[in-house]
Amino acid sequence: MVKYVVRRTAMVLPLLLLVSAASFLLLYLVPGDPATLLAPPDATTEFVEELRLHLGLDDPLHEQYLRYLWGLIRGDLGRSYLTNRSVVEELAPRFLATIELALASLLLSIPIGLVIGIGAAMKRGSLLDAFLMLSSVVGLSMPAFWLGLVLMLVFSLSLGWLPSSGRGDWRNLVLPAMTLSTWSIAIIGRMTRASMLEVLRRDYIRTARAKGLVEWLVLYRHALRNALLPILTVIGLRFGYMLSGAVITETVFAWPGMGRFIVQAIQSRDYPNIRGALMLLAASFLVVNLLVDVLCAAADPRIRSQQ
Amino acid sequence: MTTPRSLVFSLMLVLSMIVSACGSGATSVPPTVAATQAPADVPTQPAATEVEGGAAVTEPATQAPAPTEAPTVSGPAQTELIVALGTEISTLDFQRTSGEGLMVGRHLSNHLVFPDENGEIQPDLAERWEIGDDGMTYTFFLRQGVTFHDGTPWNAEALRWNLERALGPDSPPSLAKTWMGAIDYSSVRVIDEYTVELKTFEPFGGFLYSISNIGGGLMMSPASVDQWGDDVGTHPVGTGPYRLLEWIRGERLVLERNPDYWGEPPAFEKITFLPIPEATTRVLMLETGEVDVAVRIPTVEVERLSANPEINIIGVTVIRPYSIMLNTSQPPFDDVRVRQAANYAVDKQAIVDSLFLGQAEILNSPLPPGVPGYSPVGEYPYDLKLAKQLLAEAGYENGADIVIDCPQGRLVLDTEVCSAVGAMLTNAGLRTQTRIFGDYAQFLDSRTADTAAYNGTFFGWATGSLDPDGAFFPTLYSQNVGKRWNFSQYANPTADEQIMRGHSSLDWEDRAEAYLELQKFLWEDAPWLYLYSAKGFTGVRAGIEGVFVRPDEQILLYSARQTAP
Amino acid sequence: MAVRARGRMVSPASDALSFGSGVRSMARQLTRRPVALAAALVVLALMLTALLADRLAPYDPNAQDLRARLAGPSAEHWLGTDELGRDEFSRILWGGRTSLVIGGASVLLATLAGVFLGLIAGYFGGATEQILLLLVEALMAFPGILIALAIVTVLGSGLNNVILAVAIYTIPTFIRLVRASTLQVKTEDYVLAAQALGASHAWIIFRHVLPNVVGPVIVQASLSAGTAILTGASLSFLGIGLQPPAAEWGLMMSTARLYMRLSPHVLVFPGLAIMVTVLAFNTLGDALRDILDPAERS
Repeated sequence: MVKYVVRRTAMVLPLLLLVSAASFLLLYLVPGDPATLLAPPDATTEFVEELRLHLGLDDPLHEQYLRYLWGLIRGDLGRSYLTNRSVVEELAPRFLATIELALASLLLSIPIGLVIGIGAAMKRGSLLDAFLMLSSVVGLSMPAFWLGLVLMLVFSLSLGWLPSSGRGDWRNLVLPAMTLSTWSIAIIGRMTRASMLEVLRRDYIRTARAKGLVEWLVLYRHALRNALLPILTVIGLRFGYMLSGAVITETVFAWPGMGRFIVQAIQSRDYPNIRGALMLLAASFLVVNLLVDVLCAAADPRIRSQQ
Repeated sequence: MTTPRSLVFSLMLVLSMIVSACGSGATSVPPTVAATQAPADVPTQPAATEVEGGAAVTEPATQAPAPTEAPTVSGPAQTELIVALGTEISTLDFQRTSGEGLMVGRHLSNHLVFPDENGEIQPDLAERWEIGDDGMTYTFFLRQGVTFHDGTPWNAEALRWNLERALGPDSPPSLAKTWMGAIDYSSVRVIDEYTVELKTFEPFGGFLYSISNIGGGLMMSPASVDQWGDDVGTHPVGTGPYRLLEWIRGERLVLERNPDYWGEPPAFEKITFLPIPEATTRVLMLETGEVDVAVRIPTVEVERLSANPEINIIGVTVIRPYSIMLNTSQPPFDDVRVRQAANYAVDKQAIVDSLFLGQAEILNSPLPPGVPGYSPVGEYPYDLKLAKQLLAEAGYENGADIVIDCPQGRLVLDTEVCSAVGAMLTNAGLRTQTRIFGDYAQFLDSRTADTAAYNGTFFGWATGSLDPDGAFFPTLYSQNVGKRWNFSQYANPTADEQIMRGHSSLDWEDRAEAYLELQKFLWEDAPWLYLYSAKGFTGVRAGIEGVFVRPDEQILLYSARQTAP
Repeated sequence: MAVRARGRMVSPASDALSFGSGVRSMARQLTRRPVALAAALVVLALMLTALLADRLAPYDPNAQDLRARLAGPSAEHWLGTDELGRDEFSRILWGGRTSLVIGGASVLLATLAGVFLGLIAGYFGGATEQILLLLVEALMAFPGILIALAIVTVLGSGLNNVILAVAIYTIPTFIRLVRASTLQVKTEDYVLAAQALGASHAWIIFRHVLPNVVGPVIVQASLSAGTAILTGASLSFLGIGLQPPAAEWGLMMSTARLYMRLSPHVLVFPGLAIMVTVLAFNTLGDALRDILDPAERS
């Protein structure tokens, strides 16, 4: 078990290195000069040159990269070109905002998804099952930006019940969390249904039923418990992706999270911010994955005993 | 070994705890806001309750005092002004910020001199100034008894320090360098505690406008930079009527009144700026009373909002001469007849009427109205026949294929206008391919990277200093060919002569004459396809007065006040 | 090891052998399921509409009528007009062509590359496999939209680059899928026998391995097409995908934001169009997977 965890953890470092190198190369290839954007409208071409020099953009690529890596090791991600604040300071509040949204969305989608999945599995083949599954496919097919705008149109612009954008109290959270949850609910629902069906076929369920156990007890104690593993995996994955910032949802609702942050950073060619954000995203995704894997390993004796 | 079930439950428990922590941690709207918004909430109440029976809608109602006969009831005086901005402020380091950051900065600090509402330069942190006979030496006599928010005194040394930070040989390049770039830093001399003398590199008629450009010369406390170093952008310290109270990035920026302000104290105790990028949302917030002021109201909404008695719409003609800058270095626009043909080929009235609902004026000069020296010099009526005839005269009987580039989302209705103009030019035989750049960095880069790749660029260049020199010099002076913002690649000796005459002269009469000649010449020579200057709209809740919108769309709020109930 | 999925992913064929007979039986099965059949027909209809957009559209999608802008649905303009007075219905038809081209081309590219790389990784293993897996893992650490966004920023906007960007982020899904199937087939007795008999790698791959991955790949392709269309539209919505005046659903909605208050039809119709299209692809993919996976059948 310990070995397994160590092995999985060891995988994270080379991956992060790869991501750092890739993001560096990517920015090198990106057309559009940060200095040009940063310079004020009336700036002379000479000024732009000076700025490039100051930002170290003319240094050889490997030099820039090594400088960056060295900073990374010391926990220094540099300073934003645009705001001149340290990237860590820039990222922290955005990351918190994203976590807030992701958790709210999970809190909404886990119970609903579970109920849908279990309901569909129990009433397998019924109209209810068909309806729930169709709804979940519809959920998967809904463009997030469209859903977000329609929700905004209805609940903010027309009814005036909820604020339409920005971050503040819980009311600001409702619409973006709903938008973000649609996908998760559908995914969790489908996965729950599939793995419940898988489990319900097993012998021990039949045994339990034969023993005359009440149906909900069979469900709760035997079926759900054993079906949880894949569901947990899906939830973990979803959470991992949501931490990366729901680019579209955050853009639509002006939510000051990672997704919107990274889009803005790309638009303004704020290299230190882009790199920092990508590293943080990759790291958080990998860590969540690692946790899920370890949880699964801990729960599944077959994996636990491996090696 | 824990079972998966208990694991999941504990996980969910942790999740819910974090969520609730976030919920309570996030500060809710301060009570003062709720109070001031109470009357504004009233109109939305009945509609909302009707629909859902009131269940979900009760929260604002609990805060609203009984809304009977509002006009006679004088509620508590509004102490806070809430403003919806269009962008997030990048930094409040006055020498590095731009756009709306400068606007916020102007509430936090002052310039040496600053134009009043009529555009006349007035004393600010300099009480008076003298210009030497050489037209290059300026002596500034500073206002006495002024201190920065942190207690640092404002004096000659503080000014010298600010100039050094912007222009000094060892200072990193900053945006302020561009605005103050006319100053020869080596000439700066501190004469006594409140007198500073400096020289410009050359006689420069627009100098005082240049340093009073809203971003040009906001003064910073030297001690604050010592204290905060690179983080001073988060801890701005100026001499202004307001000082920074709270700044949560992406969420809100709150200023509070500076009790020791040297000038007239502002009426509002606090100003809160909210970054609301979506225009539709800003409108909504203005309507519900969530904000008192909203910038950049979309033109499509103006008519509806104007009918709302609770909202005043301030329309200011923005000093952007929206045009297609025609690439004069490439065929077909190297021929003046083709450039004029293009000018005749576009039905500007249709664009103004349909896209701008009449809230724009067709240009009649390369200078937009509102810039000193503007004079209407001509017109290019929509005349398809004449356009085709001019094309034929220039040897383009069969028309020509052209590429027109356009930034997206940077200028009011930019893609809409480009699409419309493209269709009209095509109609006249100039078969237009419009290239829209959603990415501004690539748009800017491609202007200078390969100037042969495009025949026209849609743009509306605003003179940042409100001086005509800032309108012509960057965009049409020959030395700026291949650079920003001479996207026409325009180099013409006649135009150059007038541009430089206006640039160097210190005598306004002389400058005005030069600019009149220049406008006439440029109109005929048509380096641009002149379109329109559009109004920009700012929405203000009724009952608030004194919001001043400058023609460069910057909004000044320190004279704003609530009218007596 | 948990199955890691971008969006949804087909589990590797658990009974690869039953798929030797290939695609035909899948098609036959399809006709027996009403929902699946309906989805297949909708996909077919969408393809036809896209193909015939120029004939079916009542107006030129770029013909402007500034004086009749933002008009609601009427007999003249079935779905109304947009902010430049262009016919919304015609633009949606043409937008369908764009969306299907993005979905089709990017998934085709991703399938080809993914099958090739997945076969190599699964069949030969070794260092190549490790490197490929590391790359896959790195790519999958980011949401697809972000990768596509980065690629389009590097390459510039436009149809081809959007296709390429969507294809690149779709590839890892196929690599994983094909590798997993390949690993499974590789240990089957008949493959081991063929190897023992001295059959060439190419022969084994084409004769034994490839036929077994075709089924899952088709299913995944259908699911991925839906996601690809969504991503393409999202890029345009963010302003970095297709550029005006192109008729594209995401782009239409992006512009619609400014007008949605007064003229909601410019927002609603393109959104419905995307949803129906993606729904059709997803349902088809689901049905195909059910057919493929007998455990789901009863």
